[in-house]
Amino acid sequence: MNAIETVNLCKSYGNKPVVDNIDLAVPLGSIYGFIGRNGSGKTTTQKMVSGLARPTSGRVNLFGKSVESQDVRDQIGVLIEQPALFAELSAYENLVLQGLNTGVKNPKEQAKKSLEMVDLTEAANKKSKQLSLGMRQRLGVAVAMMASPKLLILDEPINGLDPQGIIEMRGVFERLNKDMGITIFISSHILGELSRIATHYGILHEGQLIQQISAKELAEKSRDYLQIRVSDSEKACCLIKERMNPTECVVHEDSLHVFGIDNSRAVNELLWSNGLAVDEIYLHRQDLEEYFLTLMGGVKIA
Amino acid sequence: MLNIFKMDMRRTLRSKAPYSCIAFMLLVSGTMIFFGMLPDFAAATGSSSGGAMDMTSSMMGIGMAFIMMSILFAICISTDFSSGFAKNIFSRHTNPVRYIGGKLLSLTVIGAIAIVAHAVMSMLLFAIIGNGVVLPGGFIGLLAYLIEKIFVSGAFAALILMVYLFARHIAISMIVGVVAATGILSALLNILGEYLEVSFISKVAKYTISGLSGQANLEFTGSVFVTIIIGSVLWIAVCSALGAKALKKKDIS
Repeated sequence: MNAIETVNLCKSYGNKPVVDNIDLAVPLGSIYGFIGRNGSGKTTTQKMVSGLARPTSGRVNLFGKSVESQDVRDQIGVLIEQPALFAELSAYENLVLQGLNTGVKNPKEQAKKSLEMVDLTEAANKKSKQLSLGMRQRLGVAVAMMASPKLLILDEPINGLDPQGIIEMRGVFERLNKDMGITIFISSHILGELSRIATHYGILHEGQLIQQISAKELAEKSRDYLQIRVSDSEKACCLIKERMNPTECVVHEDSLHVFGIDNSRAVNELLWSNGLAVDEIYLHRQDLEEYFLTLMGGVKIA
Repeated sequence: MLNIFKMDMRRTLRSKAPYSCIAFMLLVSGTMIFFGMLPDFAAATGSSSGGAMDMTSSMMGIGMAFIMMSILFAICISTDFSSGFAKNIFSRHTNPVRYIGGKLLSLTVIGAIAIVAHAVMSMLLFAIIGNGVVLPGGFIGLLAYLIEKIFVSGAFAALILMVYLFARHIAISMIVGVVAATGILSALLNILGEYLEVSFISKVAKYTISGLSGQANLEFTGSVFVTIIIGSVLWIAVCSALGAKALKKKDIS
């Protein structure tokens, strides 16, 4: 069963479609990275999945039931756009309020546990407006976790975090997913970070879901290549094509990308023996960002 | 509904707005009573034959208490949305009645605190300045009067909540609240009724929120009591139903 399933999900504002026929499938127990440029429809989709926005057409199912069913709403936690906090109240107080909102049995106790989970115990009595952006993000995740949900819907939760904060948050997400079995549907522009935790990806472009792929499939699809800086790239390219039969050889501004060959020593010897000076040669592993850049025809994400 | 009521009460009592608004309301009303600036001062003190008149309704219709309440209610409602906490609420609760019911309950409790505080302060001040307080309906009359006012405050909260859910704008809900509190609508209907010589219009004016509030008095009259309670409940029901419709229709941002 999928934790989230959407069928022909559409949302328009006036005549402008923002989300266009999305069929999303977020497997139970996964960390699903939702990726796309600004304005691609990620937040709107996440709002519809959380029941905060009404689809123009199509439907959203969570755990096999309509998102309009109270049963499934009791099983989700959300952090959409920015942490939903009362600025004048303390971190602890915000958590207690969320506990009361969600009907947690012992909201005060649960608030303390949640603060511990996101390492904010010492800031418990600080007003939320006095917290740094990173601390507010962590508090937002704690608020989303107050009722021990089975599905977390997080929109840019690591925005504004410092490197240490990002590492800590990654640990939190991994613990929630692996130890507690929580499905996490997360959007982020920090693709390098997302690629460390996500098990599945959905790529949104101009309101359309252009690809859904598992991390495993992505690794298989990603194309590694040799990056070479050489005295004459054109000549080197011809030589490699002639002698080594690569799948592809592309000359860039100041370097050469050779696909289908990973033996850098043999390439180096070939170039050197033909009088070409090699300044640099290494095997480049295509990362998540490059994969998506390629998929979107070089349009930068973020 | 109870979850939202508990949450909202805790949040409201921990914020400054209710204390500031109630303190300001008491200060202004107290000053007016103390310096005899009330138009119906003698009547309002309960020291004349008109003592049964509404002692908190010295201004047109509902008075200062409800003007301050309209500001307070609008702040309490809009903070849910401006803080973003509404996302926590509406991602959790599918039935809008839960939010509207819980919210109205907490606003009515806050309104009740303001009304009781206002009444106690008024009576104390009337006693202090030497006019004395006459309760023509006795304790029962006073109790019935407070209950009537609390029900009207519930209707008033429902109106402001409905307007906010449609407009999602604090200023608009405050303006509507102040218009209702000052009784402008009832006054206009009365003028129109007299001008057109159509008694029906004047009768309708009696059932606006300010009209209902204006009927409340310290002499306990069963029919007036029932009219105010049923009228208020009807206002609450209609405003809640319309508010629920707005919630179902509009996205939470």
